Amino acid sequence: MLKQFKSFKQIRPDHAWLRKTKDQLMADFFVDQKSSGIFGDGWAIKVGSLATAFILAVIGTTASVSFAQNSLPGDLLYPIKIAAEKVQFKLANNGSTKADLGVEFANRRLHEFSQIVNESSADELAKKEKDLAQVVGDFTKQVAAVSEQVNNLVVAEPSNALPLARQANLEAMKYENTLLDADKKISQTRTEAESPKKELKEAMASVQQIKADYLKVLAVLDDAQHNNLDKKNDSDQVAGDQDFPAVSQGDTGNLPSATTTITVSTTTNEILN
Amino acid sequence: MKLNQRSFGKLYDKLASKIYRFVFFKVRSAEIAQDLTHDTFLKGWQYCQKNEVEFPQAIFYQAARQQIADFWRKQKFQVVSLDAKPLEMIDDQPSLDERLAKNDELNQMFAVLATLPEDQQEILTWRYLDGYSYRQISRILNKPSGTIRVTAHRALKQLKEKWNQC
Repeated sequence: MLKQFKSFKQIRPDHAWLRKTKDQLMADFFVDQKSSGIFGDGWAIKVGSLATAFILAVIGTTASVSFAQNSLPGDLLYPIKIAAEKVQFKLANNGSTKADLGVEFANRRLHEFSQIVNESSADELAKKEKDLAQVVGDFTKQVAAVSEQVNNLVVAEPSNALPLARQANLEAMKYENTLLDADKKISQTRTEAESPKKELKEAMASVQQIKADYLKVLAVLDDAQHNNLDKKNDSDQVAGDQDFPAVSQGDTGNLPSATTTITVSTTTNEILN
Repeated sequence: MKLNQRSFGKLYDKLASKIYRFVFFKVRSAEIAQDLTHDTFLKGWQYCQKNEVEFPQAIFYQAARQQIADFWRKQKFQVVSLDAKPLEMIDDQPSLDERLAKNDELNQMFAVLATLPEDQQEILTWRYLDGYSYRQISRILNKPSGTIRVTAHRALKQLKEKWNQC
């Protein structure tokens, strides 16, 4: 690990700039000291504020990571944004937080997709096939990660899984709307390129898949909740234990089919076909 | 000690790359890091001309921190997206930003480092990249050397733990 950390030593300024700056500073300091105006009277006061720099310099590397936050695929800082997200995800303490982060990151990927589509002409779109593919690939990974976390929670913490699955399902509907908007925009650009349409189709397919998954999960959790309530009513017990019964992995494998309740809009079908 | 032409030249040769790296970590732009490094030497020099300084490095790092703080304070009022502004290439070589952007491992380490508190990031940089002793770092930060030692150990432990989790 220390070896990787020490690899930061390769961060060095450009040699020509180093030399030029040295010459410039030396010229300023030693050739024309009096006329340079460097030694202004106000400097003594300014130096006093050096001490306050300890307090003021609270924004640093962390803030510089946030510099990359607005970057898009293809930008120099985009890999930094992705690396920061990966670290954030891996350092998350629990499944619930991981799922929240996954939802947020998936939203970012879709936002980036929309931004590229909205801000590019037909010609530019054709050139951005790799960037769009990267965004959609990452989006698919994120939604799959959220889905995995939700499924894990169904077994481990069913009481937390229900609100999360509902939220994730709502987000999936938003994804669908965003993709539909992007589809309209792509149609308006009248691009001949296959690229954005292909990526859009992939993204839409993954959204449909997770929507179906979430509906199954919700069906299981709702059933579990009702069963729990029924049992309580049958035994005339005063409500005390609000926990859902644990659902085993085997149960999730035989989920009631929720596909009949999925409504796929005509527009979505058009994209998928 | 007051700096003369010769001692300033030597100090610049020894310190410029370190100051640049220190600033670059905090602003993550070669162009801005160059500007702030230049201003750091200007301010540090001015201070050293009027004051007896035992360990000039401390003054220059303190000046760098002030430059960085000023920079970020200005950013609060004037939101400038660096992404929208193409970075100028200094020479024919790929820019530092470009080289870093392509290095996944460096980026990951940078992201892990960014999760540590600011003082820990700085102490790790000074200790393990710049090779300063705890005593020298204590002079930069005006803190007891024992405190620096403890913070450095704690920071390294946290960095290891977080790195291993990733």
